[in-house]
Parts: sequence; C-alpha cells; structure tokens
Amino acid sequence: MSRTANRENSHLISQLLSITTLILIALFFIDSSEQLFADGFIQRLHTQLINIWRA
Amino acid sequence: MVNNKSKMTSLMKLTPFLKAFAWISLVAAFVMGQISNQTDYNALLKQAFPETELVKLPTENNELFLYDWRGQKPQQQTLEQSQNQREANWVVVGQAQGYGGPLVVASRIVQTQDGGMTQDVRLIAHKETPPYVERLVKKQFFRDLSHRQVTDDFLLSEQVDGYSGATVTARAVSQALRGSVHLMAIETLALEPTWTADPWVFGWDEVGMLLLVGMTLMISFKSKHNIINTFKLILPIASLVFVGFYTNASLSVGSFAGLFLGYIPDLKQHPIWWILMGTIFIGILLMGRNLYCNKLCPYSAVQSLLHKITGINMKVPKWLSKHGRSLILSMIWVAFMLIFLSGHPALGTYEPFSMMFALEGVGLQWYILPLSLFGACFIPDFWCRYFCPVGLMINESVKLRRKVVNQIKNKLGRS
Repeated sequence: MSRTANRENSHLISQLLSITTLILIALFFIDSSEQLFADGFIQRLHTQLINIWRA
Repeated sequence: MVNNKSKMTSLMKLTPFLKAFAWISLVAAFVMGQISNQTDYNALLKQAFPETELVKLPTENNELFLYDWRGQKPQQQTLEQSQNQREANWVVVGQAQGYGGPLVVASRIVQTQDGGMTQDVRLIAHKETPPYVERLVKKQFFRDLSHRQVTDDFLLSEQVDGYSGATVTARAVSQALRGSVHLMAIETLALEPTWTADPWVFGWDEVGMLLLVGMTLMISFKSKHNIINTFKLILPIASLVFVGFYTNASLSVGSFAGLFLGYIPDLKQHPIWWILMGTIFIGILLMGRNLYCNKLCPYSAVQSLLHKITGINMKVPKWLSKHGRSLILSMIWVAFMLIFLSGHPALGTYEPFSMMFALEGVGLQWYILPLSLFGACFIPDFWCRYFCPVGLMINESVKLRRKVVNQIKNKLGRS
C-alpha cells in the first residue's frame, strides 16, 4: 500500500475511534439521565420543595 | 479566513458566559440534589418491609434510629404469628459510607434471654455499582449477618466472611450494622459494651500502597540515581497489578464529585482511599505536581503498555487536538451535573476502570472499554489525553496552584 493510502487509512481509523468513543460516552450520559428521571427525581424534588414551603 | 476570525471572536465573547453558566448550573444542581436526595428512613423501611407495621420510637440518643416492630398488619396475621410477635421486636437502622456513597442497613432485632439477636439484615438504600451488591447477595453475605448476638463484633474475616471484589461494600455494611446494633444494645437493652472497638484496617494492602506512593514521590524529585530509574520502570507495572487488578482502587470522576457530596470513607475502614487521595492533594498543594497520572494510575499503565506492544503512532484528528480540553471539560460538567442531581456517583462515572480491573460494569461502559483499549494501540495515551476527566481535573488544579503561588510571589516581591 502506498504511503498516501496508509496515511489516509490511519486518518480514517483515528477519526473513527475518536468519534465512536465520544458517541458512546454521550449515549452513556443519555442513559444515566433517563435513569435519573425514571428514579423519580422530579417527584422527589417536588415533594421536598413543598415540604420546605409548608415548613 | 475572515469568517474564521469572526467565528473565533464570537466564540471568545461567549466563553465567559459559558463558564458562568457552567458554574451556576453546577451549584443549582448541587442544591437541587441535596433537597431531593434527603434520606427518608420511614419511606425506605416501608419499601423494605411493606406488610409490616413499624413505629418510630423516641430515643434519647439522636444517632439511634429505632422502630418498634409491630409485625404484620393485623388483618394479615395468623393466630400463631400474632402470638409469636408479642416478644419484643425492633428494627434498627444504621448508615455508613460505601464505595459509591452512603448506604443504609436495617436489621430486625429480637429480644432474647442474653439480650438480643439480629434477624433479617437488609441493605435498604445504597449508591454502590449494582454488580457489587449482587455479588454480596449471591454469596449470602446478609444471611451471614443474621442470627447473631447484638454483642458480636460483626467484623469481616473474623465472624463474617468478607468478599473479595466487594470488600469495600461489605465493610461498609458491617460498619453500619455494627454502629446501629451496638448503640441499640447499650441504649435500649442496657447491655455492657463487650465487643471490640472499630479496628483499623491496616494490612499488607495498605503497606503496598504506601510503598507505591513512596516510589512516586522519589521519582518526582527527578534524581538521576540508578534506583530512581529502576522505580520508573517498576512503577507502571506495579500500579497496574496492585492499584488496578489487586485492590481495584483507581479513582474516577465519581470519586471527586463524591468529595463535594460528603462521601468520604471512614479513615479506619478505608485507608487506601485516604492514601491515594492524600497523595494527590499533597502533590497539588505542596509540590505543584500531578502525582497520579502516569505513575499511580493503573489505566495509564495499560495505555502505555498497549502502545508499546503495537508501536503504532497514529495522529489524532485535528479537531480532537484542538478541542480536546474543551470536550473533556464538557464531559466533566455533564458527569458532575448527573452526580449532583442524583447523589449517585455511578451515574456520572463513564470511565471503564471497574470493567477493566474487576470485570464489573453497567451497560455502555462495556463498549467504552474495548474502544479505549483499541484506541491506545494506535494513538499514544488515547484515553488519558482526550477523554480522562481525572487527569484534567488534577492538571487544572496544579495550574491553578501555580498561578496562585506566582501571584503571591509577585505581591511579596513588590512589597
């Protein structure tokens, strides 16, 4: 394989690795956010704020 | 060219607003998290013992959380059950710091001739990574804590089998149980404290960690002595084996966010955490150096090793080189937001260290691990330079420290 082709391939590989890792980390954060809301964070915050307001 | 310049100027004008927004939103998330994540023992006990009537008992000691076990709600009892439940029964609740934050343990106590006995020990709230708790449940760790006298020591490896791979969680559970049961034994059952006081957990693991820290400090003094060169060769492998695989003590973004939430493990029970964190802070404050990355961090050792094996040096994309720092800062911000709002460090910890060293992980972390290892084969320090939050936080702290010291020196120089 020519040097130019090698350089292009390595550029592609490093682009692919970097972008895929970033996408996976972003997906991890999205998954965590869903877990946070599924856990009832909004309801708990709402209940506690009402308790504080009443107190 | 003109367009690029104007874009740059607009971006530079936005930067202070972005920084202000980031800090304000973190403070807001912290406050909201503190409000919504207050531990409600009554709600936790209702969830853990749904068919049972529990009435909180007033106690003189504010640290004792004691509930009268009134048994199953009357309409659900058989005659035999209602007769059995005339003997005194309580539920006592205790709390301790686990690996990922505070955990809450509830134990039913039945009065006996000798005093009392534990029954049905349950972990009713925790912030541990689920596989660690599942490991304890599978090995019947909670069952081992039941049917014991309230005056027992409840110490790991003496009366209770500790479980490697989940030892930190196991220690925290036994500490929470010990604290609450012993307090109840004194206050309610009027028993004499015949048990051993909380011991120091200090063995060969802790000695090993101190030796590694010693090597790190000696390397940092940049001497040309032969022994320092030997330490430079040994340290990465020793960190990989000891800090990584043997103790699984590597630090993550969750460890640092946990500091703000007050999730600080007990010094007697978890000295290794204190040794590692202490070394980092001594490095930052006293030496102005990052003593963790490329020295004590086992994952950086993995990255270097993989890269040495392949010897391939691919160039990182230009956009990643240019914006790498901003990307990591953004990831740190998102991680901290999630951790502050949930009070659960595992939700924001995207680093794949537990998968690598303990084969424990959740969901997408299993995909991030092979990708980061594969990347390290081709790009030097792939994870460390472009994705690691811990390294950036320590390096930024070191930079801040240097800036402050220089400012002080300048002021002293002028005066």
